[in-house]
Amino acid sequence: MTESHDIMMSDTVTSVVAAVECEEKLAPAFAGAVGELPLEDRVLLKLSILDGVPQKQLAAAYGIDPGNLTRRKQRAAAALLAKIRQIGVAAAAPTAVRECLELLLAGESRTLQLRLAGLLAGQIGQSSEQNGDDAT
Amino acid sequence: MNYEPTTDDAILRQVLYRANAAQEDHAAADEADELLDLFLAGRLTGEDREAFLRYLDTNPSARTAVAASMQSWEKEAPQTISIEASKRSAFPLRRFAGLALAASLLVATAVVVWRTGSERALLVRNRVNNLTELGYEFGGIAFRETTLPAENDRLEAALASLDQADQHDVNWRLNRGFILLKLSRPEDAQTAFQEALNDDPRNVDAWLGNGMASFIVSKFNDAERAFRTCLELEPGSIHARINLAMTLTELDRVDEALGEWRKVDRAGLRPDQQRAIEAEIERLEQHQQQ
Repeated sequence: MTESHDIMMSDTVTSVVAAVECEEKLAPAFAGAVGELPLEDRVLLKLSILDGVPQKQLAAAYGIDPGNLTRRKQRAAAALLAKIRQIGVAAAAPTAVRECLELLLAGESRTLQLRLAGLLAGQIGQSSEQNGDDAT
Repeated sequence: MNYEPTTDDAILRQVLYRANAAQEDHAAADEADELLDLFLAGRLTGEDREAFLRYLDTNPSARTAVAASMQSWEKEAPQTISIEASKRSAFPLRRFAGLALAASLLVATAVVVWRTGSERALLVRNRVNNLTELGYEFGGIAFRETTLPAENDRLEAALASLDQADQHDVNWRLNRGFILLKLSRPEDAQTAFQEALNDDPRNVDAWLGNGMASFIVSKFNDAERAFRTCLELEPGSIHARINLAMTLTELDRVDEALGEWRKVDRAGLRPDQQRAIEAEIERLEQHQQQ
């Protein structure tokens, strides 16, 4: 039984228990996705997003123009989001995975849910059709 | 894929948070501290840069500390970097060492053949500010008796390069003294610092190095005298005061040690260093009450 299949078995992901389960299932995939980023980009995102280091200081540390740093951050962020999307695409039960992702990454924020759904929708929808999967 | 800063950052924050590697690599901490200035100034390159980034990547607490340094740097809004970058360093005394040792680089050109190829790296690497950088805790307990093997090779190479230099001025002796200190050769270091003091009796760095060498060979009274001389010459020296407090602790003069710890200007230190000092004060206060 695959991890994704395990996720499918919990057909609703609205409870705290489900959130914990989702985290257990997806944390390795997140770590893998983050780990695939180039080291420089990974640390850049962490310093910028997790630690809130201002763009100007990051640009100085990276020895580049602030404008270039912004573009670099955008590229790194896009790459990471694409990898997250791949997690959904690769799942045996994409809908359940999408719900898991929304629960973990967007929580109750409607804006984030919509954005995440938007990021995931195309590929996951396509994958669902191919697999005849319509979990939940 | 279009990037939407606000919403995507919120999503990415969750991904990064949940993917965060929690394993701390304390062995690299000393090296990382030395490389911090270079990184902040955008001058850390090559293998050192990769090693430093890897250290930040796998040590969330270290990364947070570096981030705090970067944020405080913004508040001070420095207009220049290079040697001036030390103004927002965790150890402000470095700027004095920087100026002094920068001169030595110009004199001892041979020394500049260095793994990173960076002059600033040489300055930052050789400098020793206080006893904690030599493997001592604030309470005086040695947590590391010798340098790390990789560091040892580098230091030996640096020493060999220094010994090839033709001119032996104060800065050359200081540079040599600090390297010898790091190589756990305190007697030789003491000789180097004493020679520097013969040339320049009011050299704060030489007194600082002399005091640390004395401390390591358990000549605590000599160490105290050296650190007090440092403070006479430079009353604001954070490191001289920290070293003095550690020395007084070794001499079991807890009241005086506490007094010195309380005088340490903690505003310029990193949060983790501030916490360490607070913890030491608390430890000594408890010791005092017993």
